[in-house]
Amino acid sequence: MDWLTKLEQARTEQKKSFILDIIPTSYSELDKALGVWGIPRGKIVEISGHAGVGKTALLLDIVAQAQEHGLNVVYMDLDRKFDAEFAKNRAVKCEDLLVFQPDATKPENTLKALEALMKANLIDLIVFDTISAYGDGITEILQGLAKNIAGTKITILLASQIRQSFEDPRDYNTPYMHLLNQYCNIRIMLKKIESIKHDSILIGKRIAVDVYKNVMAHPRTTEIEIYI
Amino acid sequence: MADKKPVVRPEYKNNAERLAALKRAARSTNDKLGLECVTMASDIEDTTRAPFDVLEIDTFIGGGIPHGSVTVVWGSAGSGKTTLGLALAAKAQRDGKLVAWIALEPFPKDRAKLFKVNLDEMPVIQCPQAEQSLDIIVDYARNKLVDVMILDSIHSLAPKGMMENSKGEKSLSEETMAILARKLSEFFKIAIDPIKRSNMALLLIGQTRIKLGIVCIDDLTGGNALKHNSRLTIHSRRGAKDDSPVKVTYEETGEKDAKGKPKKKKIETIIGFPCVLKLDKVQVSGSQKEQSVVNVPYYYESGFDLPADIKAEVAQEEAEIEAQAALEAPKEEKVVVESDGVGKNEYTPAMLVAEGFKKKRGRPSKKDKIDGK
Repeated sequence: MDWLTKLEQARTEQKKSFILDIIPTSYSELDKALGVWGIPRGKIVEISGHAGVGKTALLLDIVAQAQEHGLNVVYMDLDRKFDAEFAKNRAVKCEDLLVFQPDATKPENTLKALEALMKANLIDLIVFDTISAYGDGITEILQGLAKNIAGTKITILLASQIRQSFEDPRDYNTPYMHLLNQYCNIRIMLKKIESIKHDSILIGKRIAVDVYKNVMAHPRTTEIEIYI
Repeated sequence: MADKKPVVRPEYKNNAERLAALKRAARSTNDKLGLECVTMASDIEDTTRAPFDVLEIDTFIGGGIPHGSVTVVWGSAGSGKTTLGLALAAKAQRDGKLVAWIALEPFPKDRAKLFKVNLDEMPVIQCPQAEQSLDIIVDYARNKLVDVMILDSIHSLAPKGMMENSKGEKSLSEETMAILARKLSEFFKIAIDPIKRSNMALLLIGQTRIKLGIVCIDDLTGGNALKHNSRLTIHSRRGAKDDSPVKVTYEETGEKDAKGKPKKKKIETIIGFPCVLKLDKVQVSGSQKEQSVVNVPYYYESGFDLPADIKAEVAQEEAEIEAQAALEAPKEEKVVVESDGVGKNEYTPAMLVAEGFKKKRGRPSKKDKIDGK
């Protein structure tokens, strides 16, 4: 056998066995700011921001990228605002996406169902929209998830709402901030800078992204443009 | 140290097989939990809408407020918020839906009668405490009692902690900072699921406060939870006075001009105000884009509906044009008109007249006046 064909064979085999260690976010600036060119697999990532800033849009973009790379996604719709048409517009394959609408007052049931899926090696990405819908059960959920994803490549994405800080009214923080700070490996805050308009119709938003906690690289800030 | 046993995880040949296994597992979790909570995204039902029966607003928000979620309408005093609620209630009752009204402000009975709301079939809930009225919403949603529910207004909700201090005495001395915002945040955590499952459309009417900071701007009362948990947030305000709908009448002055015709004096009376609606947050399909604005005339006499006298005039004009068209009907000629570059459409003269009338119609404003006579 020719050495060149041998090399080609080896390369194709390598490609087959290659496991993606990151999920690209489809925004190159954000990929760069995360330091590892995407969201690292096997980690817990939190995205927070004001109402209507584009948290759900960003989550769905990441879901679409994950599906493109052959990963199975579970979407935890805790806010009950999932719209299939909206998801389709952001290139999500709706027929392959599992949507979970659990009872937020019974976190232990949810955890059991997710554990069964995780142990059977069936899912790669779990998206929570939004984690703030859990009341006191948030501790159980985060503990259970952190236990189960150890040593696997299951990524967990949390969207989180925002509240006004009691100490400084100009400042904002997330509910359960200390708990989330413990469990999340990467924390991202979105802030709207301005809206992008074309012929006086809103077509997108320019958003300041603050990666203020990152275990993979230094914390960085950047700007992205999310189009509707 | 004893070696840890490696966790054995099953492996799959390819992605398609893995996905099929995931779908099977999802079905079994539904059976285990005894609740229909795991579905493929493409199987989720489309949201139905509860329209206002006001053409401009319905096209603006994509056919009405979404069932199974929360909608917030907020704005300054006297900008047509309560009227929007009444229009929604009246239209829902005409469609055979059940409506409940939580009145924390005095219920406008006379106006409700004007909008043809069926008062015999609409319960009006008046509770002194915020907790009681919020519990009623959850209770109605769990038992699937009503299809549309309206709360007027958020700012009038008075939590128990605001009315009594820790000893149970009535006083205003207690520290009650952000107590309503915290209560509402708790309420949404409990209520979002029953509202979705009962397919109830909940309309919350809110008021404005001035947000202090470097720049003082108008903001919604009741905290951030409202904005986070609503699917549609509409801001209403009064527009510029020049855009307000007017009625034009002519009065004879008694004098005569050079040609011998009697002089007429033009009188413009303002019969309403322009209600400007702006979309703050949209998560429904088919609506206009975020931050777009629509200008809807509001009549003091009849709300968002045309007043009876103008309606009669429009009907009369319509009848006149129909009669004219009937006269011209026998000698039908086909006229070819180019329609915006797409292709050529064939119109009869009668259709042309009707088309011209359609353009002229619409709601009267200062720009295109409908004469008094």
